[in-house]
Amino acid sequence: MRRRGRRWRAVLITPVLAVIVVLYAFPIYWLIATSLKSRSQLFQATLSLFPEAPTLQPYADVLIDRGMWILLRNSIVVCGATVVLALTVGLLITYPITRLDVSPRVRAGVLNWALSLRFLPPIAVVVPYFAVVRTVGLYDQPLALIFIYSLFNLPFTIWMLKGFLTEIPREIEEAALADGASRWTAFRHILLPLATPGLLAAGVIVFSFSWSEFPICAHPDQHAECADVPRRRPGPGDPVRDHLERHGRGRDHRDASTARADGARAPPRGRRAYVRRSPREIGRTQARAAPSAIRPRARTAKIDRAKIAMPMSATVNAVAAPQLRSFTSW
Amino acid sequence: MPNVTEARPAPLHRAGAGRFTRQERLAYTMLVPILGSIFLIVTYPFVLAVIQSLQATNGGAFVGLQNYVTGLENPLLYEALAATAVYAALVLPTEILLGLGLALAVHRGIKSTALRALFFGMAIVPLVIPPIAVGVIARLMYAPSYGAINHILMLTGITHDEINWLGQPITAMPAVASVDVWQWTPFVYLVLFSGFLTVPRDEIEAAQVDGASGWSQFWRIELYYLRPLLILIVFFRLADVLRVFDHVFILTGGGPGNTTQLLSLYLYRVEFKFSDYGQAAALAVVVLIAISVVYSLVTRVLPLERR
Repeated sequence: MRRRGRRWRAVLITPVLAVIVVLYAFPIYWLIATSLKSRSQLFQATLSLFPEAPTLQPYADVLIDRGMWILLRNSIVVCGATVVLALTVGLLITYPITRLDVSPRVRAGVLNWALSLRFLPPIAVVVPYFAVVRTVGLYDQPLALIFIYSLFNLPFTIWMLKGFLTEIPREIEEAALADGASRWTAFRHILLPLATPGLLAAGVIVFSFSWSEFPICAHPDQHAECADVPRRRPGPGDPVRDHLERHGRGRDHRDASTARADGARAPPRGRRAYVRRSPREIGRTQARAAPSAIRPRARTAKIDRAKIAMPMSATVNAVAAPQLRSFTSW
Repeated sequence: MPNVTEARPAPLHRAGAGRFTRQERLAYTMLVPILGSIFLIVTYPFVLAVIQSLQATNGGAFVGLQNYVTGLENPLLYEALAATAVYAALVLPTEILLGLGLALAVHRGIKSTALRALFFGMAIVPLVIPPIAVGVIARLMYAPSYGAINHILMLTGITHDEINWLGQPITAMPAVASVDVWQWTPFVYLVLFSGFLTVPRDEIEAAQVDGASGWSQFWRIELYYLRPLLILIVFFRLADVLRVFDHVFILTGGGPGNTTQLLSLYLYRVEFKFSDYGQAAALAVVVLIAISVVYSLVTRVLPLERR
């Protein structure tokens, strides 16, 4: 019986696994291969499976020439801050419910409520959040994103931390307390070091979740918050800017950013102001968008919008753009 | 309610007066402010949305439930719901069966630690790629003229004409769903594979001594231990299907027609294409209420929190 099992394994499992692995890995391979192709190779009539003359030029183009490293930095700052905030708040909630005597009903209630937060589709809450952010005056600032990301990641953080904290025996802490340590000392010197691996794991996951986020910072009137500095926005009645917005030519993102560097913020505009851009156009630019926090300049210069791409694959977006135009049927 | 009836040792310090022990008081002084502020942060926008949903989009006059009526009367909403259901029906079983099969195959068939580590590493990759970038990768696969799939099909002579994967209603939905499968099957695999590792050895060995076949080991022992994990996966993936946005947006933008217009894309469309904020808010409120109802039903049925 055992031998038959083993033969079955060898004959069936290995090839099937191999096929699945190849199918599964191909898109990743293709992504990397495409990013190493030169522009002329990309538009060849016959696609080649291997980049003939691999070049790192696209990466240099995107990261340095188009200033993408700034956007990368924004992402890192926002995600890093989100991790810190989410973990702090998460600990403040999970510490009492796992390490102190609270009634089981409170504990279950808190955990359930946290999980229910995860069920909100971001698109459904983005609208009201946007209104709040504008009212509070955080509009156009990374801080707003940090708050919102932390909130959205809280359920997961709480559940993970709860898992890790319950694994640590309470006796260890109680021994310290019996020896006269204060709660804070016991937490700081006993619990925290023990919980560090769990905190790190949760931190990594929160980081990658906020890194992947798109709908919130893609909100048509909000994505400027992905930017590094508080920026001045084009007012609704500025014909030159409108023209540039529509045609985008002759405008380099670098002078766009220096123009914004004055740090002044435009007064909050009415909702309707941005609708003057046809929704079709919004759809298009959105579709062409780069991931999450790395596409702040979208509103200022269309040409930039088309060119902003993701860090991992330099050329993908530039290639995808012409096709996207015909595809988004908004 | 999930049953958390973990026995706690009796409180160490009984405070002389009051209903709460010292520990409880400390716990509540930590919990109440932070939970209270989160509650406010969560509900305040919701209240705003409710107010907005009761006002006319133009002018902001109070219109009662008018927005709800127009929102719920729109057949597009039901098309979107149907599309979401189709998407879930395509994606959930495929991911779970495929992930379970893979986990089982690797668990039984591959013993080398290096290969297992390789699978682990590969499975992590799609989870750290932002969904929007996954969408772009998918375009490299499916798009007309430069899509790799068409290219390979034509190279190998399977087809001679380009297949318009994203432009035909029949192929668009499977194409979009395949992206989800590609991204999330590894997650299912990772969870279930670690689940297989936690199945107690001695039970398997006892079964083998009793002459149980590989299949009955799987059905009778391992599946039993995997059940809570499977429930958790169904639960989380279901929540995710309602949130799917990015890769569908990039791939088809809801088209062709409305075949791939999922619920979140529809909400987006009402808000930004029709610019009907009142209706969008009304729909958001309806969706939130519906989800919380479904959620409370699900948590009642599924024993999420065991321990």
